[in-house]
Amino acid sequence: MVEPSSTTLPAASVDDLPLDRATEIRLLILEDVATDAELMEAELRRAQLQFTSHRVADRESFQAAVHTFHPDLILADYLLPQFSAPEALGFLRQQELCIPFILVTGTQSEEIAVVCMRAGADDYILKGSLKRLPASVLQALRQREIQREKKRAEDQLRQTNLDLARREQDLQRTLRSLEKSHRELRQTQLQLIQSAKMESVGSLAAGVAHEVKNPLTTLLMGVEYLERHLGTGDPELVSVLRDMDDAVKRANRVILGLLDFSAPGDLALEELQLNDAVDAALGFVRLECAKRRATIARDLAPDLPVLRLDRNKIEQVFVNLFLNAVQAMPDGGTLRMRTEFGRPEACATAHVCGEFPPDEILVIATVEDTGTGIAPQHLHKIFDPFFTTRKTGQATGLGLAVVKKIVELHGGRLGVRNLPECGAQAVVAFTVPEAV
Amino acid sequence: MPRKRILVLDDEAGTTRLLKLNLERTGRFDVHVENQGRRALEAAQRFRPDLILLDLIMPDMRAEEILNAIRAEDELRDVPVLLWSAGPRDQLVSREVDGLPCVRKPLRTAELIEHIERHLV
Repeated sequence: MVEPSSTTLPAASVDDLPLDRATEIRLLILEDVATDAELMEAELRRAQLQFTSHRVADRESFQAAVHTFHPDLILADYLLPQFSAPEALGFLRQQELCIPFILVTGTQSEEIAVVCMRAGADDYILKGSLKRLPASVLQALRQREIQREKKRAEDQLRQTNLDLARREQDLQRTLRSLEKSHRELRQTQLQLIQSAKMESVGSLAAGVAHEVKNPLTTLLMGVEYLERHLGTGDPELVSVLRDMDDAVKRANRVILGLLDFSAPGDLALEELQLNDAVDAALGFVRLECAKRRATIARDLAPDLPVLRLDRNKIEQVFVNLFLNAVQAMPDGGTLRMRTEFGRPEACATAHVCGEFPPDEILVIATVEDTGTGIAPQHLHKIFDPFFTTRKTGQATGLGLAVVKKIVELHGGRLGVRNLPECGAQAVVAFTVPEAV
Repeated sequence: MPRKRILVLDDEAGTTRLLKLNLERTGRFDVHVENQGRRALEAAQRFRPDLILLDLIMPDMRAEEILNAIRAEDELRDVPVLLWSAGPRDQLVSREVDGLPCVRKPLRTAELIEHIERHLV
């Protein structure tokens, strides 16, 4: 019985050789005595191992052979005239080479054996008992193969982990971009729904107007008839008739607002000083301001560039903005109207002016009130047709929708926001045409 | 002062009936109503109005057709025509009726009378 050289592995035989049988073992023999080397070879041949061997006897030829001969296994004598096994092992370690190394020595010394095994030798064989050599060779090769397998598996695992981490990062990135796309799609969808709604409102409005205005005319004429016919003696009757009259006017206002909103974007453009339109609009609301104890603070830049605008429509814009401002100040306050011009970056109202190319010259009108401001939950709805915070019948909810449409038809921008202190601010910005 | 003769051409019977009542109540107008476009010319020939109030959109005949028929008659050619319409403003800019005064429904009788008197010869 031959004792296994390792406690964990059974004694190896040729059959266990993990290499292809046809594969020759490349054997580097570090041995100064040629006959000793031949004895080793003979022993291996006897065990039917296929090998090619190369013998070296000093440091230089050993180091050279390691790199040129590419040995699968090294058999080494412990002490040579100018070299030694521990030095050879040191060289391999320094070169980070993992070549099986079996010490074959004539001297039996536990001390030497321990030194060499510690330095990385796989086995220790006495020249006197070379019989054990083939099994040891196979064992060392097999162990090295297992180590290589293990390292390969570890490397692969490490690589797989890296790949997984990278893939997880990719997935995270993809997820984020999908979430972003989803948000954008939702936004676009909402806009599409909104514009589809607008389109149908537009085409409905014209038809509805005709069908509603005729009966309204009948109602109005009827109210007038009753007023004359029944006389004005009964105060209850008078108030009933006045309510009916108001109802007709209200319905008509809704229809007119709808028509304005859905009207085709034909503009009667003329060269216009924005200040003139502002002043005309201020004239229309002066009485309303006085009634509500709202003071007008007017700060118009005297040298504004001339714009090409539809005078009536632009006046409508400012009348609407002024009335909104005044109505936001039920207990009085200040309606501030400012005009100015300049490049977008010089503009204090970047939320509106930032949308223009930086080399444009803008004419900007700002309307501010000192009122209650817009409730945050309403801010995104204020341009929706029919959205109003006022009591039913007091407003159609079309004012700002029409204002925005008119401004945009002129290539301008409208922005509305709350002021930090109190009140709301509307900003209207137009670009100055080049050829004016 | 003799009463002015107003021919109202409008398919809304409810409106025209009340309009006739309201106008005649002032004592200044005689009003004849015709609700069908195809009978407009005949009504005009018979009634000999001082002014025609013509609805821009009548279901059986277009306002410009009625207008052309009336303008083709020598004795009706110079009768002033006032359009009134329940439609949106841009519907008034049709070439055939372009240049004619137009009022928009709904409006009070007093306002309508102002317009009528402005355009009576």
